[in-house]
Amino acid sequence: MRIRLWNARGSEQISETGTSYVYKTAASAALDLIRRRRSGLPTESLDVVDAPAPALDPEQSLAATELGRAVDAAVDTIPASRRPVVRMYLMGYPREEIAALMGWTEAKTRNLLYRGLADLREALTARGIGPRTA
Amino acid sequence: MTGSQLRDIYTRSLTKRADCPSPEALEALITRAGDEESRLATLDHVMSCVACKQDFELLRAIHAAEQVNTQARTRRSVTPWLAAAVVLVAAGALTVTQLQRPNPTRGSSPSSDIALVGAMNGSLVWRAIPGAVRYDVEIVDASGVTIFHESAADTTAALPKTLPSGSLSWWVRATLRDGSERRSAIIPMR
Repeated sequence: MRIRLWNARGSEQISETGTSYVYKTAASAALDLIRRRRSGLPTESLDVVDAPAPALDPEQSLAATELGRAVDAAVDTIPASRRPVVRMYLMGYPREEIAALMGWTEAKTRNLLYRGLADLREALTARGIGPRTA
Repeated sequence: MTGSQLRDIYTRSLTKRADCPSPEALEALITRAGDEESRLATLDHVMSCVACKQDFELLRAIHAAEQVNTQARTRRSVTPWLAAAVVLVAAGALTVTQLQRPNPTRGSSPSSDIALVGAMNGSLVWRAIPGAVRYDVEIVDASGVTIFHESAADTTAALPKTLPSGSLSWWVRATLRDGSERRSAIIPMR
């Protein structure tokens, strides 16, 4: 990407449209990186390495894996129109970001999310995973 | 199970899935290109695949930065137009105000609500009218330029010590208690 910008320096491309060209170049470079990564080709050091999850003992690890599979299976039963919204919610995205990404109103997003979460609750309960009782 | 525990279990259970969408599909999701059904299918995969989630966040960060930059550029480009528009409106309003201002040189509906007496003993004198709270007296030259102005509460105004030579005229405008105005005819000074 630096090479692309270096080659474009001083040209009309970069002086006229300014930062817009920089962003287009960055997006293009990112797409190239993703393609290379998927095809197994070596990439530059742009890969993000997530922090390792805290280690669990084997018994806890097995239980977590089983629970994870059950939750995943429950999520898979949610109708396709609502499932991505629930997945985003479970990944920690706020409703505003979901609405912005899909171009939905806040009301539509809230409706889909609440109905999707109700579906998930039902599916989890059917698998014996219920809300925590006090 | 609480909501945060459910989120924790879900994020921990994420793995790399097969049949990942193309980079172009990820880009379409972020730029909202294409039909909603396809974008929902891509999103469904992205939010359940570690590798695609990472790629999605990379593209999303670039797109978000571009959006912020575009908005800033739009604001910058709108500002000069806005300034020009304000200047035009202000100029228009000023023109209208000037046109409405009683100006004897334009001969716009001169009325003779105020009777002018004349220059006497170094003062300009006129007749009072009922309800007047202030009088403005002006002396203008042949080209209509105001060379003397004074406000008065009564019906006289002391003439300036020196006046330019040439043809001079004077007139009076009265402001009434209700805010309305009356004015005299414009007459030559003798």
